[in-house]
Amino acid sequence: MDFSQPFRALTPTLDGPVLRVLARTTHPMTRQQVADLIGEASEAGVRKVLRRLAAQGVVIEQRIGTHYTYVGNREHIMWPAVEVFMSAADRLDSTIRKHVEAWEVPALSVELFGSVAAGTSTGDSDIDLMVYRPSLTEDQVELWDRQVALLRMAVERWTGNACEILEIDPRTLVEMAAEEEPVLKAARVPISGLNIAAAVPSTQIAKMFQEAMASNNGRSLSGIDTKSLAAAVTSPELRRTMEELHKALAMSAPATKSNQKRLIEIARALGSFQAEPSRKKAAEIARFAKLSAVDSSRGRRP
Amino acid sequence: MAREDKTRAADRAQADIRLSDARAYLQQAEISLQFVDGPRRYATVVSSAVLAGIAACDAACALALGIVSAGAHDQAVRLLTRVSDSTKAVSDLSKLVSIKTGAQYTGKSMAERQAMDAISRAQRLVAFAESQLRR
Repeated sequence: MDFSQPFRALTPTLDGPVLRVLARTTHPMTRQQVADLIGEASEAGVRKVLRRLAAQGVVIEQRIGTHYTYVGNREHIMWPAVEVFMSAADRLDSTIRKHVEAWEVPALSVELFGSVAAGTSTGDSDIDLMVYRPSLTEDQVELWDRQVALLRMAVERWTGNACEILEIDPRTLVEMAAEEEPVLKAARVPISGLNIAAAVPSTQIAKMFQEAMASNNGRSLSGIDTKSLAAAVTSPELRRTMEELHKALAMSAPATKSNQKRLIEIARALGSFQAEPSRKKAAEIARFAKLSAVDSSRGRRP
Repeated sequence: MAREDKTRAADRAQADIRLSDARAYLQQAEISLQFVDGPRRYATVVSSAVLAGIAACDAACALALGIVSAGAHDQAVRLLTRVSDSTKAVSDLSKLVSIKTGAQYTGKSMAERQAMDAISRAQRLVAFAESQLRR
């Protein structure tokens, strides 16, 4: 369907665009004003539609001097049907929200982007979704992939449009931020979860992490400056990104003594261990310390 | 709306520009709240939030009505009342416009509470304008 012209989902006539204009304002409009706002309609065509809708009572026609003005009749028993069309975009958002919030492995965030988010879509436009994935354990990967595939198919059934899903995770988000990817600056509509814009690190911090991850495939985390990191984390969303990245690094970086130490320092810089000294996190610190001890005594990754 | 209220035609491209302005001013307000020091800190925040609100109002009016106000800010508030479901947005813009002079021209200091309130109102107005893109 065409989210810029939702009435076209059921009728291709000029009635849809006319009703859309009148639904967006409570102020009486002249025929010319309606035609101008539609953009691709003649005044004669608009007049015919307005007269017919006025005859049905859906539109109120009023004569002022030599001019006629038109306003949507909000008291008409069929006006709620007009509002249903007008709220098509909101209904899409809430339907997706309900679907993704029931996921067994929850997404950190789901946002709409592209032409539907920008309000410039046509009937052929894809529904573009950005899905922010948390760090997954091995047994979660298959379930996650199935969830995403089912979402794609569901959106296509709900709208008749193809659905494209851009999956990102903390690591790719950092890489995208380091490369200053335009998609991160494009208009997006939040659907569920945290605000991705607030979760994007600065280019400087992103580059620091990118270099650390790229150097010898994450063999050394010593390039991460924990002082700048602590100063740069300015929002809970960004802290969440960094915590997820920390989790991913803990899973992938070789468990050398210096890496374990650096992981604890990074976590401290993020304030996560100090701000939320939960038993689970205290145990995590203890586990890192133990791993380090085993690593140094055996000289290999445990 | 009074007969003398001035408006001018505005198309989708102009709506996009004003919406970008609104987002940029809002970001400026949020950055000022974090990084500006000194006695004028909150007035700076309020000033940017007011500009964000006015730009968002222009974007919403351009999208829904095809016109924007070309007069004083109280005229912009009146024009916004013509947009459907704008009650809350009108109230937010009225409040922002009412503190504009105090924040920008009088040297009057602003409280943190006023700055936070202005940012919340500007955020709602930007969200309202964005919602017009998809109606």
